[in-house]
Amino acid sequence: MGTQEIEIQVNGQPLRATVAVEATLLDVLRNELGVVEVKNGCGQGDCGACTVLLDGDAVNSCLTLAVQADGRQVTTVKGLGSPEAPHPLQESFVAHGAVQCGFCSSGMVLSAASLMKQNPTPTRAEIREAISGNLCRCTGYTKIVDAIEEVANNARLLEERAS
Amino acid sequence: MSLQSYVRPRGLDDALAALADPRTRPLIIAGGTDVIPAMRKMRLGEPQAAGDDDDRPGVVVDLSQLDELRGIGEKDGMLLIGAATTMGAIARHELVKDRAPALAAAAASVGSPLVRNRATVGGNLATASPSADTAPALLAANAVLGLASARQGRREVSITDFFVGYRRTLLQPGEIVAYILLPLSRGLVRGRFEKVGLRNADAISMVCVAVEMELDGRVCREARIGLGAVAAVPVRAFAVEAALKDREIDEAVARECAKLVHEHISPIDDLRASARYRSWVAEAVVARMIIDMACKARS
Amino acid sequence: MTDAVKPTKYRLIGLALPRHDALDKVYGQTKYADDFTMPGTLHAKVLRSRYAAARIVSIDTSAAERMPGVHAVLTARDVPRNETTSKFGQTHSAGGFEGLYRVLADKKVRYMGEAVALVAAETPETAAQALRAIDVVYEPQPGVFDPVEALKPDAYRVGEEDTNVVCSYKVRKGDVDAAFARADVVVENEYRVPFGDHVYLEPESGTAWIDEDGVLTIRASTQVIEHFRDVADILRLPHNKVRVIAPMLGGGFGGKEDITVEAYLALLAYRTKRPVKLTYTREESILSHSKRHPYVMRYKTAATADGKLVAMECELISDAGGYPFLSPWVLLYSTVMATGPYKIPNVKVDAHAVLTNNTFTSAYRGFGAPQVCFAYESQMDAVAAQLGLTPLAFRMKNYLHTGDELGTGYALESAVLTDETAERALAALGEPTKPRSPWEKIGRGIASGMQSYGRLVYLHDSSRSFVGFELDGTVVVRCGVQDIGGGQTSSIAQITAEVLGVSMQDVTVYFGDTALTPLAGTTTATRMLYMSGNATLKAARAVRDALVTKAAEMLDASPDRIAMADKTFRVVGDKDHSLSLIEVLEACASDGIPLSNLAQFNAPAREVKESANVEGQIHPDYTFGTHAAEVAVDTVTGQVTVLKLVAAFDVGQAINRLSAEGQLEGGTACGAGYALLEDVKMDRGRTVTCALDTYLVPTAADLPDVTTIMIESGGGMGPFGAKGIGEPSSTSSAPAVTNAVADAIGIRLTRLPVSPERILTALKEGQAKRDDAVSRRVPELA
Repeated sequence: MGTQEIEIQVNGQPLRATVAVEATLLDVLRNELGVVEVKNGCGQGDCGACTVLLDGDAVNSCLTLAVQADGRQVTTVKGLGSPEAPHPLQESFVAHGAVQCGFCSSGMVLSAASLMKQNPTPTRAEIREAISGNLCRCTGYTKIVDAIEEVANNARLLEERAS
Repeated sequence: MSLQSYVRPRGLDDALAALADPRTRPLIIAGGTDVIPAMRKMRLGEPQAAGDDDDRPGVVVDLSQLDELRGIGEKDGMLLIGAATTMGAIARHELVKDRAPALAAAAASVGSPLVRNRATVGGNLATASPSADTAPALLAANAVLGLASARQGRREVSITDFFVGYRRTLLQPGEIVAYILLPLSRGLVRGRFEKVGLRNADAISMVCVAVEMELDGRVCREARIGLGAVAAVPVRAFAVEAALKDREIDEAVARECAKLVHEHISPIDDLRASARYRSWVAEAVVARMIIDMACKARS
Repeated sequence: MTDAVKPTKYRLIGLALPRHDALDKVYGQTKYADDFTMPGTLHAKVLRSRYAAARIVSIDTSAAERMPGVHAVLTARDVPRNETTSKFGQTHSAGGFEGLYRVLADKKVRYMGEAVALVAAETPETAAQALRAIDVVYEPQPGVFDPVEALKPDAYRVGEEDTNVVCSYKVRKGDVDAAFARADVVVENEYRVPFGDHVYLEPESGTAWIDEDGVLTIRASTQVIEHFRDVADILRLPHNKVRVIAPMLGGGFGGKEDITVEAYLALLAYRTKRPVKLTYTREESILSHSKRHPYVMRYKTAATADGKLVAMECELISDAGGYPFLSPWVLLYSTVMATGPYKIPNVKVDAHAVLTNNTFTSAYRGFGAPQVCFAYESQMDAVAAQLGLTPLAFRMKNYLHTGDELGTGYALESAVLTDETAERALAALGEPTKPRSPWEKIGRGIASGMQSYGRLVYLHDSSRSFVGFELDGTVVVRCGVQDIGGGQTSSIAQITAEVLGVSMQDVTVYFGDTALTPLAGTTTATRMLYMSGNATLKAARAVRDALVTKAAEMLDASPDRIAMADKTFRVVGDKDHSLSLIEVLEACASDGIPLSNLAQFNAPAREVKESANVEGQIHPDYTFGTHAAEVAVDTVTGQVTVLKLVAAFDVGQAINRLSAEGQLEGGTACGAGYALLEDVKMDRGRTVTCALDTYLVPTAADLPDVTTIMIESGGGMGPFGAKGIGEPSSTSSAPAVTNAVADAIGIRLTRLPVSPERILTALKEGQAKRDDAVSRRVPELA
């Protein structure tokens, strides 16, 4: 089994590893690079727990080979926001009770962030579609949609004020 | 196969050369949304069957970053789509939504937004799953596929010839789909796609149907109907199309013509649905789509 | 989305507060079981049976043992005590209900996926190779895969006993035959529900090591840290030499209630003297862990023309799978709740749990109540239709109220507000949605349920919590809670903060550690808020009382005149004299008065009378509520779109309003999945749907918003009058959806899931029957 040296920018930090060609980005993030906020829920793209932003696009890191991420930017939930500099989505999720067991949250927040970039003022239906690749078994999704909608509404307000 | 190395070619010719290298065994990857789950199933299941004698080192050839294979544009009144264009890009593109709506809808129905950010139309075609969602839309559009290889050079084939058997295409070793060409619908042509799945995301079609019709009022001048998940390959329902030609559509006519779909489908029982269900639904959905499109057509 | 928030009579209780664990989770900082790493960790893998029923002729591990990098290969002969029982009570056994638990398969395998051997190696790849090198010779047996078949006298014997019946229960009240004879309407149906998988997002995972004091320590994603006793027994170690720690779980839902990885890890760590980690793939999780029980339920329900239920007879047969695990208990719950929240004077229930060679079945949110709820709520609609009454009107004539008896003879003691939940749930559906096309049919349905909270009274359940002040006025709680995501630890912080007059940020909760936190019991049976909440309340009040007494002495007043709030003690009505919290704490510390309290809360306890005949009080209390649903059915494809979902429950008192709503919303979604999508298909014991592309659960695009209505009767037995809602929130959700489907298409489907194919088939068969009836009416031509 062949290996390759790769360098991935993870949340702005260059991280290097020697990886098996067939290793997924998820495997390498978790097992080689200690980036454990990215979760493994199914390993084959059906649950979204492993969601990261790859050059800004929300993808399943289990459906990306680590070698395919060589030289590229990976953003995890920690790159989105932190206690010192929280992202509005993170604050909204907490305020709305959209986090229960939290295992889906790392991925869910990134899918939401990706949506906001493409469509800053989505409808509830558009929100549901945007997170349809992120399974949640605890919340039933209602509060997650509420949380994302609030951020969208705030964006709408800012837009209106600006115009 | 043991994967020894990974290459990310910078140009199409480099890619084709890598695919034609006789010393290695290439594994093509673009979005990876079919390839990687397949690799995983092999890894978790029984070891490689003894019948595989090819012990050349495996090389992963990554086509996903090739600019020559990506992009959507217009060329001579046709829509030109690079094979490595993602489903998400296709689904969002204004030109596609406006002038190839069945394809836009089909691309939008694949997997989830996460999958659509990676999955490519070329991969969808090359994997040749019977339930590939873009295939019926491209069949209904009479799409042409541009193929490329180091050995054969460039050639174009009609999509109706592309699928030759269950999960088999006419691609030769080392040959890839490079682009897709389909007519931009204009005038009286309408297109529609419907997917019948068990849920609204990350669902494999039990039946999927694409219909393109040129409608003159309620008269169908021409129809093309593609179906997926109801045969070993995605199919065109030629008999239905012939029956619809130059007919004035009403509910009875639509139902009568839709019955002919059974000449082209041979569905199976599987985890998701029985053959009987697929038969019922294929016919009924074709009928409904024809009725909806004809009755709502603008003159 | 809820009712307008009413002002609460408490400072913190009832508010919509951000949960203290939510921040870490949303920043990606929370460590779940697989996120912990230790140097020198070996990787474990489990070899599982390839047959559902087989004798094991031989196992040859020599090749695997010789592989470089392999540190241990274990089979049944290496397990000090390979056979114990799957105990239900952690500290008190109720006799006759415990089934065989076998760590590793010995001479036979009883389900596909049963663990046969364990490997620990330097890398996961080496471990996988080692598994492949273990040579197991099986002699396949015919097996039995249907519980009804397994009941037959000549059926294949799954276990070592002479019967496949795990246990049987009965309820006898009144005279059902006489009642059926005089009834005006009798409806009989057979209902079937499938295997279900919990699909917690976090697959099973754990690490075990031996610490510097020689204590075997297991950190695992588990709902029951008290399995340390079982692990100790398996290894023949003293109980105080085994420690289990549960970090935050990524979901449980009952699937992590039985031992999953703990015993395997313990054995390998003990053998290798190295840390060992085991994390299941999703496929392995689906293949090998417990499933929700399939049931065959034959119901016969009767009513008189005035709309009163007079009799109910039912036979329940559950598929226990290859080993009993918690099947007897699940069956007991089904038996007790088989009649639903209704007054029925004549009741006959016969229930059997039967072994088969399918995957073993055990706890799953609702624990036997959702299955019977699907049956009895379908029956209620069917009987209502025959009586010419609406589903709501019929139910309103029959709901249980406080003081009424269940079928088992137990009279309900606490608040029972099902009537109000039903009216409000239905009203919340609003105006009926109009069909959006000629092919669409709209339907609406309600379903009411009852679900216990707190464990069986036979188990003499108890919980302990330690609450203590630090000298700076911050607070520490130590409580053996397993936090599975429902806000279990956050509620404890909130209750403590409420009583002690501090903020939630001032409270740190240590949880889930058998060595360091007083044992609180399992996170199952919707018991955590009730049990650990009450224990914490008791401890916090004791601390508060001690401080108030001291402050009273220092302020020269009587304790009942002391107000403790905002970290200050003052005499009521006296503005001039007060003491800071710190002053009182320091005074207590100096005078030898404890700043902390360890309290135990005991639930009502009863003795088992006669194990087969179920009567009297079985559970401490029940939560009542109603779900309502509106659906659109596509009559061309049979697909269902859920348009509206409502959950209306008497929650007693919401502790954290967001958490309470979250449980209602999540539970409702769980039921919708059960109704429409979820189906673990097995083919002669082989799990066919072994990944998440074939076992389907609802995505965000498959569900509408859930409207929640929380009534707060204050009538629960939990802290501040709370009732438990973790399971009640899901029990009646599936039948609300299926009743809505039946309303839409005019046909009642009696099997879950109500799939598009089943709906379309029913529509076509219904059409065929109508066509047939019409064609027969055509007069013969002369």
